[in-house]
Amino acid sequence: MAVYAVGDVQGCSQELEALLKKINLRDNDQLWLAGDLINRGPDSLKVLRKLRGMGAQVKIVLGNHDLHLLAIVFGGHKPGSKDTFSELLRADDVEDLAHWLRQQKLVHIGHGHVMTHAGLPPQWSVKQTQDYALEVEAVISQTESQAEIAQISYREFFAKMYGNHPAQWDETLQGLDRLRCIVNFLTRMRLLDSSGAMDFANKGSSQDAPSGLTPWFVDSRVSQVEETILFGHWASINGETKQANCIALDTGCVWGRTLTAYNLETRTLVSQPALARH
Amino acid sequence: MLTGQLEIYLVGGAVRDGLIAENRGNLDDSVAFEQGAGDRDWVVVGSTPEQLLQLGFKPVGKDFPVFLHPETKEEYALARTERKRGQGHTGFSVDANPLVTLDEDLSRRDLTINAIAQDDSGNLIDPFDGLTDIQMKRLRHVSPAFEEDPLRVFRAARLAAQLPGFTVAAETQALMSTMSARGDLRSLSAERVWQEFVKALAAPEPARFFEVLAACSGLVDWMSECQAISGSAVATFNPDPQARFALLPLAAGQHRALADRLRAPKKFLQLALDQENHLASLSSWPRVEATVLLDLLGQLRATHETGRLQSLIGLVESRAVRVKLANQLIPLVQQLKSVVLPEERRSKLSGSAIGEALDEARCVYIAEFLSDLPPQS
Repeated sequence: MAVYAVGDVQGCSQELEALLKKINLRDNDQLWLAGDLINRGPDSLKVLRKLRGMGAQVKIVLGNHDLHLLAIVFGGHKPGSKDTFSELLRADDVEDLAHWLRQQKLVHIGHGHVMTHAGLPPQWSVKQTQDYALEVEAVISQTESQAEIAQISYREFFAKMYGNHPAQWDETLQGLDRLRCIVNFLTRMRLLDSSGAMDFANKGSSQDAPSGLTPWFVDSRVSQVEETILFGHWASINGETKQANCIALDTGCVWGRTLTAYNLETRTLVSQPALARH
Repeated sequence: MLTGQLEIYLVGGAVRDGLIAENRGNLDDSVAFEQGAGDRDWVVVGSTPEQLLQLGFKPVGKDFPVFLHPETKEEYALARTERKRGQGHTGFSVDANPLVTLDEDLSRRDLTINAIAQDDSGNLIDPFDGLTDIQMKRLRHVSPAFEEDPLRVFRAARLAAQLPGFTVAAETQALMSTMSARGDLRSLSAERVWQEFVKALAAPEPARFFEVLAACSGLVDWMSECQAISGSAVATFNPDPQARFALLPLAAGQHRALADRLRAPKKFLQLALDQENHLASLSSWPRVEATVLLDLLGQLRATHETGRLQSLIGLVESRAVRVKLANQLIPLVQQLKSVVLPEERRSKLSGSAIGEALDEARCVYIAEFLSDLPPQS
């Protein structure tokens, strides 16, 4: 059995199909996805239907765009002008797909690898990361009857999920602030300041981040992690981390570059060039 | 006081603008349109250049007996008469002997509202009834000598743009038409016409300049491109004359023709061309293709110097979009400077492939940046 991890698909259904053909994915192989399955690209609906149809074969961690869809379906938010999943929002099975999507995780661990959408916050161990992710997963995957008696229901969470604060992790955080902070670290983190707080204004390349800001993976605590960290979310670094245990999977397919699959066993990459600029 | 021994009168724009403000019933609102605030003009009657020099006044220019007050730097001119002698601005014989009266000096001026003097007790000397014209909001010429300087056609039109509600008197309009039809305006220098043009652009109602000129066929020689401009067609949300020039509703290529003919400073044409080529892309921010934006930033050399980009942002009509551009695009441009190719990638490339790879990297950076902007933008 082979295990492949694929970066941000963002609705690029054609490239996903081509990539799966290229790696010759078989029924007993596993397919991990680093999140941002949808949005910005042309075929978000197709991608979700396809992945849902693959059942237990796929392991998905949610990205900021996936959560954005859930915030629209369950949290009363409106699509933005740049969102490209109107076809998905109009589909008969949009609710089904969204309920399925909210059963997915924020962290997936196995075969010596840890996968989240944005990466591993330096101040968290792998165990902590898993625990914190679980706190969020417990809320967003609630059944309706759980939601009725929960302190924070999944609908309330999706309604109030957006915000850049708190940008700094603090173990004493509680309630929505705590959940939002965990979600931001796991799905939106790129550059951190010297105190470990997230910066949302810059997307600097790993070589020349603005002064005082460093990519989360340039941190000795991260290089000491035994597992290999898989993440997406950061197309502009184009797969370059210069860290042996950090594999950047978002190679900007939706922006005209490539969709990348990483073989966890052989530790090799296969990529499918974008078929068209969207 | 230095001027105590001289017979002096306040004249020109300062008197006019004070009376206009008074007529509006609002003394505090006195706006000096022609001069900067406090920049007043004075006439000196019964004196000689030698007297003024003795008192420490500094002479300016060589054609006219005009001096600067050594402390206030305000202009003091000896009362003078002028006779047209030939073609052009300098084709005048000037007589500034001490016997020239205040009335004679006022009579050589262009419009009645500009031919009012005020003594140091505040009394008005108004031989051509300029006060009535201020009340009637009328631009009327003082005498047939109006036609001796063709620039006065442009000055009258410019004042119409500067003084809201003022219209040109029928007899003055007729005289202006005669001067235009005769081809008098052709003898002007581009620099003098440009000065009036740019003052009109900075005025409260720039469109009036073109309307008044169109009505006397005064656009033909210098600014035929502006024939169709009228009404509210000139955008005034940005007070900067460069911005207003760029936003004049002209056809493609006409900004260049106009700027060349009027010998406008280079920056005016630059911004106008940037407007023609790129304004539409910026106005739809943040809905813009990464490739289009990268091309735009390259052409404006924005990663070196954001001046041209900042000026262009000032042309976007929607304030909300301007604010977004300032808060989002400018930081993006700064960040783009940090996008470089990793050394191991760069070392494998050569020639134009390096530039192409860098452009691609910047394009992805821009696309990701735009994609990450908050959904409500």
